[in-house]
Amino acid sequence: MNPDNKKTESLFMSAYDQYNDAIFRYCLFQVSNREQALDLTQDTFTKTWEYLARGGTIDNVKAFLYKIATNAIIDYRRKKKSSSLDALTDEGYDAPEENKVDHESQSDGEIVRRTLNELDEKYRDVLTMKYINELSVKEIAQSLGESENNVSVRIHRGIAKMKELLEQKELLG
Amino acid sequence: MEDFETQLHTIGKMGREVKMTESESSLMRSNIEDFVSKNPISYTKKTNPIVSPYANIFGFAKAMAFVFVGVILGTTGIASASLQSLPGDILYPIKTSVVEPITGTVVATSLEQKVSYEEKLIYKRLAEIEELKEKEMLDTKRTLIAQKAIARQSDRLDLAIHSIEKSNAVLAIKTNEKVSNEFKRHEDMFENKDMGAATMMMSLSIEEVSPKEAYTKNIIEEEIKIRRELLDEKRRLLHEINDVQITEPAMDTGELFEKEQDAIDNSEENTREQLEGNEALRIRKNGSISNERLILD
Repeated sequence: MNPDNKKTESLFMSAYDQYNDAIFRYCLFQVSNREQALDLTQDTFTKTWEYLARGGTIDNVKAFLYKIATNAIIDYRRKKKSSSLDALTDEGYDAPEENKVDHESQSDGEIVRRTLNELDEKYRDVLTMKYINELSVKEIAQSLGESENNVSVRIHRGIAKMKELLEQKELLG
Repeated sequence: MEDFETQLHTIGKMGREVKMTESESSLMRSNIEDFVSKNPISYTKKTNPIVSPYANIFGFAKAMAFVFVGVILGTTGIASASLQSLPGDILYPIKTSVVEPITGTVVATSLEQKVSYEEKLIYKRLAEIEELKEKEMLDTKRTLIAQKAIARQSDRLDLAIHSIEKSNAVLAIKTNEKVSNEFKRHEDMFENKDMGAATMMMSLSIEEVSPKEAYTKNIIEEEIKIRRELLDEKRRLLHEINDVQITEPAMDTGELFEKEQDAIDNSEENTREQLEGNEALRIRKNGSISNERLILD
């Protein structure tokens, strides 16, 4: 094997070891499904490798991985939209017991996570990246392909909307 | 808001404790390693190729070759299409001024072949008028264009004949004779057949001369011109070859040809008859007898 190729493989697996949990967490907060989050995480790394194998170059591995993960999540949401659980529920579908939420036993943290999922995607993405994955505004901007100023505004508005939702649920006061 | 942000950071800190289990992580790592081994890096690093100093030249030559082929194909197509054109068509000037002269330089390599080629073309010009008439397309504009084409072709033929007058006088005379006959035939045709009332009316209103009259006049003038040239040539040939003197007063034209039978073949006899016929035609046209006489001592 070409030494350069071997080196690339080694660097890639190091990136996996470093960021696999962060990507998994990001995916989990976005889709709220562990199995799906695992699949999305694996897809993120395999797609990144395909890009490298075709001769692509990556300057910022962390931002690149989040970008791939974001795109994978968007694809997942599109597919899910056609067979939305909410739509099935409206039609009389009863979710399995294990997926039902016992609000009384929920911690404040769990309620905030679920509230986060009630936000528009554009706010949820930036808030998850910033507060769960601790990405900088610059890294979020690189991952989403947006300007840093745009990301900052989106974070600010996202926080305001989330606060509004939580006040409605009387968690803040 | 700041308190809420702090709360978010706290929630985030709690969230960051969410991880894959050891087994999930190792299974995923194994899957990814397997994927990497099955999908090795396939690209090769691009190296700067050694550029030939002639690369641009060949590139230019290639481009020019394409342009050349395109021009040839385009020109060939136009030339081919123009061959079917008739007087008044868009491609007709290309046919008469470009295609036919170029073809002549290729197919007619000797002076005799040149005469033969130009002779064929003048028949072609006459045939075009016939075709226009058959298709009922012979209006004033097309007639004038056809006449000009005939006049030009006649000049070309005269030039070709002139070039062989010394080297091949017999062919020159025969060609003149054949062409004269052909003109005569077409003149008769137009005299005997009506060109159509509409065409006549149109031409009269535009130029006060009908196409038929214009054409006939043109043919007669051309005929007379050819005949005069022919007579001059005969006079010169007879003088040079048979040491015959041309003097005044006049003698009958028939006597001239009877005396010089060895020098002039049967075609010249026909030519003489045409001369007489043309003389009569000119008398009809002008209403007087020409004072020109060819006399032989």
